[in-house]
Amino acid sequence: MIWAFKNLAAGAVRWPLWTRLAVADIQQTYRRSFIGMAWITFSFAMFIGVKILIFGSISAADNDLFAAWLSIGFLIWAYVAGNVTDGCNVFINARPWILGTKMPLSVFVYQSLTRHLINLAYSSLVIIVLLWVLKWQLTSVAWWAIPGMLVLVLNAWWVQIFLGVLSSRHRDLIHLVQSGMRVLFFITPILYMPDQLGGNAFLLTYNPFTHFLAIVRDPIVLGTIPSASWMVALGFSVFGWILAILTLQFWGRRVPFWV
Amino acid sequence: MSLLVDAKNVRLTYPRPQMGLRSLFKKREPMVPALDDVTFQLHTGDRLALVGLNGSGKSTLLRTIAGIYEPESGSIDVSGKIVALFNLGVGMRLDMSGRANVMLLGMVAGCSQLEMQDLMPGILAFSGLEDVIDDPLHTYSQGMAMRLIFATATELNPEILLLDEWIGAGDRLFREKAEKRLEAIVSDSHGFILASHNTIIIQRYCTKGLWLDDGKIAASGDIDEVLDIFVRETSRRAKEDEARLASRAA
Repeated sequence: MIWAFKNLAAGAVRWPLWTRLAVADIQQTYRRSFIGMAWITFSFAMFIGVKILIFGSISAADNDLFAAWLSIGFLIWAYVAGNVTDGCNVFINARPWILGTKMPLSVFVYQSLTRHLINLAYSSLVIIVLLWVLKWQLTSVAWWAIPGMLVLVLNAWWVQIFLGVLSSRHRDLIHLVQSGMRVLFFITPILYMPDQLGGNAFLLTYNPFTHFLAIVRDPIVLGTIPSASWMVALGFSVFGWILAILTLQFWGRRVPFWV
Repeated sequence: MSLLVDAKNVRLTYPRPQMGLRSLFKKREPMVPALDDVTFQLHTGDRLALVGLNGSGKSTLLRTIAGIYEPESGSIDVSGKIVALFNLGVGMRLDMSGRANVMLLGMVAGCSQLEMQDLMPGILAFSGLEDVIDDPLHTYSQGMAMRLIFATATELNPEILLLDEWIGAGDRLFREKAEKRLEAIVSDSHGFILASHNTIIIQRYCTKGLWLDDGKIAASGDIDEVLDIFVRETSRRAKEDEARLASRAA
């Protein structure tokens, strides 16, 4: 496993490069626009606003509760789904870099992870404002969202390594993951609350994303610590990291031939 | 004389290209190795030319020496800081200023921000772009961008320099400066490997030669000898080719 760990470490020490690249990626998306990166916040606000308006009126749940539920759910979903789908292309998009420079593969994973964290930070401004407008009462349990968030990052990390290596060789995986995520969105409780599904609510527990959302959202919105979801999330972290390290160790060196 | 690059029986095969469902119905011929039993050494002071026809493995060998590709068998040991000047523009961002791009290129090459700040005045002076260095790169002409990349890349003192084709940049004014600068870093480097089709350039800068033919070493040694064999053999093949084309036309 030495090569894989060395690669992760050699990439990590290049942090001035990958943080710069991550910022440059985002700036490039909004280049020459007047408000620049504020567009991330602005577009998320509009998106959330419309969703609350439409789905709030057809939801039986309490309006304020539903607004908080839906907006935080979307925030986390956008982060998780973004990492999963971009993870597939993390090395393919870096092809000129991989073939033109000697750069540890993990640099591109760190770059992508950082980019998504910046996006998340800009979008969460909307949530902060929303919770303030709703005069949302946070309990001391809400702090549990922070370790929850760390677990999400830890999982985004291995997912990008794992999917990045495999889908550089097997391009069908990219499309499979994209289609899969579209389906999973609807069996993740974001637009609705689990009890609205009645007898079918148990289906949600088979979707790992339900649990990843719960460990961050429940402490803030419901004021509870979902212990079962924590177990699932931690299990995935351990299992996933073992999978990712093995993938990197055995196939990482083949990636320059595949991209 | 110390050993800079030590390649032993290097063999490397590219994976079969993925062709989708079609490949299920096609007979699978084994892939031909891109490098086969390549053994050579580069010592301090060596100026090595890689010659060979298109697709003979020159760029693959350069990438393997640079550590980008890992050989499937055999070994390649490198001691010294390698600078590979191929894919010169990797990492350029059109929406960032020239200065920010220089910093980025430096970071890509593994220099710290402080080191780059020290190198900056030299790069600015050499590229002659002081007046526009804080403008975004997309406002530069192609020649100006190349000048900036060239000035930056050649400022990073390599111990072992790898070149895929001799590079030049810029207008008449810059070209001569660039030529001199490249000559200087070639002679300052401890070891130099150039893959090129240009025999004049090769004879001017290289002392040793390696002819790669279909991934195998066809000749190696003194540059004049290698070039002599290479030119003789390829001329013979060209004549054969000509004859074949003529017989087809008839």
